Amino acid sequence: MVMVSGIPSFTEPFNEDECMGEVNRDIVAIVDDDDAVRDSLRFLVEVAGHKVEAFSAAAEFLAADLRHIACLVLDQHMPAMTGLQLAEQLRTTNPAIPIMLITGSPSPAIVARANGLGIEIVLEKPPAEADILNFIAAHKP
Amino acid sequence: MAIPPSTTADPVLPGHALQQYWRLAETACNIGTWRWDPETDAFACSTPAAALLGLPGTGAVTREQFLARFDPADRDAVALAIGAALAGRDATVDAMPAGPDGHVGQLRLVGSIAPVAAGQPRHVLGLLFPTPRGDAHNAPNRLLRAIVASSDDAIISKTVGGIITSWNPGAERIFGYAAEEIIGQPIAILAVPGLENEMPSILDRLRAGEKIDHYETTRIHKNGSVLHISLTVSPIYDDAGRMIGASKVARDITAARAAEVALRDAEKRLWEQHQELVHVARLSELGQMAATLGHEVNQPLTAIGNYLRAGQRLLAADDPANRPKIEEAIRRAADQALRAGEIIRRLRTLARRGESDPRPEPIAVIIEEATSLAEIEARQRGVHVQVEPDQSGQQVMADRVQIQQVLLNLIRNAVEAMDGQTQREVLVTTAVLADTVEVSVADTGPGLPAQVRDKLFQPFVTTKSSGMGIGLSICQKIIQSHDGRLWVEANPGGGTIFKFTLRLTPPT
Repeated sequence: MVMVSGIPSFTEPFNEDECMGEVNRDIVAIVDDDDAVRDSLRFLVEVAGHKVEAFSAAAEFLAADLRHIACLVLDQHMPAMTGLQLAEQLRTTNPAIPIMLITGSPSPAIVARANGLGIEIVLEKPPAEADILNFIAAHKP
Repeated sequence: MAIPPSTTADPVLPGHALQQYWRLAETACNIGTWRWDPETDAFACSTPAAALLGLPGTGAVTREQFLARFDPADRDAVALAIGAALAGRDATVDAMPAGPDGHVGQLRLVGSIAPVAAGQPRHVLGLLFPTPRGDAHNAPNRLLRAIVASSDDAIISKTVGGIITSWNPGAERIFGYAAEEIIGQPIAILAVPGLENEMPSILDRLRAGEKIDHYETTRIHKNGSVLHISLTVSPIYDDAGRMIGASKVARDITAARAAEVALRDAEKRLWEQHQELVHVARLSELGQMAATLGHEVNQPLTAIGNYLRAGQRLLAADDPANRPKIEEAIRRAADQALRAGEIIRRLRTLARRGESDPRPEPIAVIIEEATSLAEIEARQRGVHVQVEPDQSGQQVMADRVQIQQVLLNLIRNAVEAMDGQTQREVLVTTAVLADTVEVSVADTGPGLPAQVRDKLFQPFVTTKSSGMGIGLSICQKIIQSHDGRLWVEANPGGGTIFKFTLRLTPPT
């Protein structure tokens, strides 16, 4: 777990742990249609010392530049496109991005589908802080 | 000898001259004599008396046999007169003899107790003769008697003092008393205890010239049960125009009354069942809403957890510069706690039980309250609910929770109707008409097949694979109980529009 003091600055373009030849994958993406959940996740993850980019819809995320995305914190229940539908598309375009799926009702069907798509972890709402931050720490270079 | 035999010297005709006078009178006026000895119950009749009554001879008969020679309808009156004579009063009664009409006509019987010497048994002496012609019009004729005897209604006459003087078979049937046990009794026997004053007041009203016509009241049966009767009372006048009694016709309306009460009870039970059904439907609504709202409450809980964990981290760093950020985390967490509370509050309102509680409410508030829950559910299914808020500022008389129930149902139906469609929108609008507001819930679904539309508001009609199909029938009952109307129209742009009206109420 990363402990920091104060709020990290987002003006630095690159992280020290830059991988050779590639742009820094140091941004945690959050996709959730609920304003409060999204804002609070961003707040927590930023306080924990990570850079965050938040999206209120799946389409918005898929249209963004994903080269800096280290990992994805994804809500399942969203109108238009669900978390699993997003994950399915992402697996075809950016299969390397690790995904944490958060759902209010982790039914066996959702868990099975998540496993099928190779989603790293499925969390039930409300998720524990440690589970979120451990996931991010594990998948951020 | 024409004088009835006696075991003792007859004090009525002591002298020879009197006997001669009597024989002349007897023949000239067709007067019979009779004598009753209560000790032996022997009735002796003179030859004319026996002839008038159709008795085979002058031999003694019992009182019962004597009475049997009178028309059944008059026997009580005759017995009463004989009883009155025995009690020391002069008695007079007009009665028809038994048997076919015409052979003698109405008879008058008079009697009185014979003066007796000490130690002599008492006996009653009397005369029997055709009722004088001038009096005949006072006596009821056979037709009237037949009507009275065959009437289903009780036909009773009574004296001004309230003593019953006639009692037909209808009265026997309705009140349970036989004529012989009640004639001569006060009419107050029939009064419901505590209401005895009503009867004299009826007589007072009659005297005042008032008509008592189909007056509904209660009387008591011989067995103690209360009867509901409809009473028509007419005064009886003598030749001088004095009221000497009253004749009343009483119709037993107990059964009709009981049917009325049963109908009211049934209506009340039906209303209670309706209320219960509305509540059950709401509980089933609640069950569906619980899953939806469980998810909805998880959102603020998630946010609260995130903000508080972040605040904890900031505190642990022990840096004064973190203070504004900590405050922000706490403030946002508190806001989300309120949001969670609001969701729970709405769910609780929906679970409320009890009678319909209509009160004046602004249209805008009713619609907002009602659509807020439905919107949550619709959103989770990826359907947008657009509500055009009411701008009129008018009020309706409505039970908020029940209207919420209706709108939840209509919006859920709309959402479910659009499953698998590309264009999925629900539009809720209101329009104020003359004295009503019309609320519309329109969807962009495939529309309703005609055969479903016709039966839409019957219970257990559903196009859905799940659900009991009681939703719309309940909705309609709720709206009807609000004096409104619920109906369905085709959406011109494709889909279905459900519309209902609520009555406007002047702002208080």
